[in-house]
Amino acid sequence: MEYTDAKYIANPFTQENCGISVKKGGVDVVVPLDPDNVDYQNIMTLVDEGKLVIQPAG
Amino acid sequence: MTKAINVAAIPNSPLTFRNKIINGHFLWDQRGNGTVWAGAAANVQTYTMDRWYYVQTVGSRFSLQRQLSAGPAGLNSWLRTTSSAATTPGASAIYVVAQKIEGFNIADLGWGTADAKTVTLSFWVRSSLTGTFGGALFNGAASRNYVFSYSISAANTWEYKTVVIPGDTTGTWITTSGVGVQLYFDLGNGASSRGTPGSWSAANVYGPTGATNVIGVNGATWDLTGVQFEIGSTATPFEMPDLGTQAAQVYRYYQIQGNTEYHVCPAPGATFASTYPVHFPVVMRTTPTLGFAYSATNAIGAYTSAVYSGARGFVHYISASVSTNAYMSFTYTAEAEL
Repeated sequence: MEYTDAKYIANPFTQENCGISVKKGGVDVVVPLDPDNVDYQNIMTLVDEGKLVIQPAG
Repeated sequence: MTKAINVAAIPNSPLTFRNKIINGHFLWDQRGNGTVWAGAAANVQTYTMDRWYYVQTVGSRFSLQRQLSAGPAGLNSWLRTTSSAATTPGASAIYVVAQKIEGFNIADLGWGTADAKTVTLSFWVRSSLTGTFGGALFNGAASRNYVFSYSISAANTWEYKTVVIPGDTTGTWITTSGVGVQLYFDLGNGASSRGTPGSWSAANVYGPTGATNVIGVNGATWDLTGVQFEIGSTATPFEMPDLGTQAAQVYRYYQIQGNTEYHVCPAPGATFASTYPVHFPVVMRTTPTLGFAYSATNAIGAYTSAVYSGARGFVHYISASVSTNAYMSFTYTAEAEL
């Protein structure tokens, strides 16, 4: 699956990152920072391979 | 009055929840609700009917669609796959329909130990083609592999198939919330993606050598329903849970809230943030990926789709409302597939 336009989402109360806003196959979704979530696994693989950059929140 | 218990009458495998496959009758199709699935991109695991996905090394080589009409053995829902072109698969190509079974649901198989139990795969299948067909099992890491085969002797006729598979006494088999077992049906794999059926190995193949290629004939069909994967060496009738149980089973992995949620802000003002909790009807396998569709907004400031989320639900957030009657409405999807 193609992931593009990745950006962290910050929790407005704590300011900590709480998810990733990303286009998955062209559709906007929110991916949790959960190692058991398959989308998160796929995104982190792409990041490790240098194929995707997650922009900071804000 | 006392009566002795007839121990011999108590089965050593469960009478209920026998089937490790979810939606083996293809009734549940939350994503498509009967749509034709045809556009899977190359080598992308694309989910279709609940719990089922397909993979095509070259995209758009076959389509899938749930059918709601009389099938075999009283089943009224089934999967139809249709070849979209006469395709000659590349050597390592795969064209498969598959389901991943969660580790928790196969923990009682004892696979990877000396106590590994025999299982039986059973299903109804029909094709416009005849010959040898097959598929394969994998563990989660795809380091253990078992190829099976079956034959279809009459074209366009439902046939019942059973495959007895010995338990794997080696390898690592996840028994928690990860991938326990992967089940693949081969619709036309390349030569190096096929192997000899009938034994466990460390191979990486998805079907039997020489099997019929459904994708090799434009317009060829292959239908499937009543898929059951159970402990024991005898196939039992397809287990049909009540509808509520089926819903709970599929919602663990995917759910759509098609009824609009209304996040109404309690008070106007730039300093009043507003949160709106959403509780899933079923605890999901893990924290899901969320998709939102916003249908209306009125007088709100910035919003964040999900500031807290977990397997039980999420919290929607609006930073401020700017007048009375401030609200936004949305529907969502939540996906926690394997």
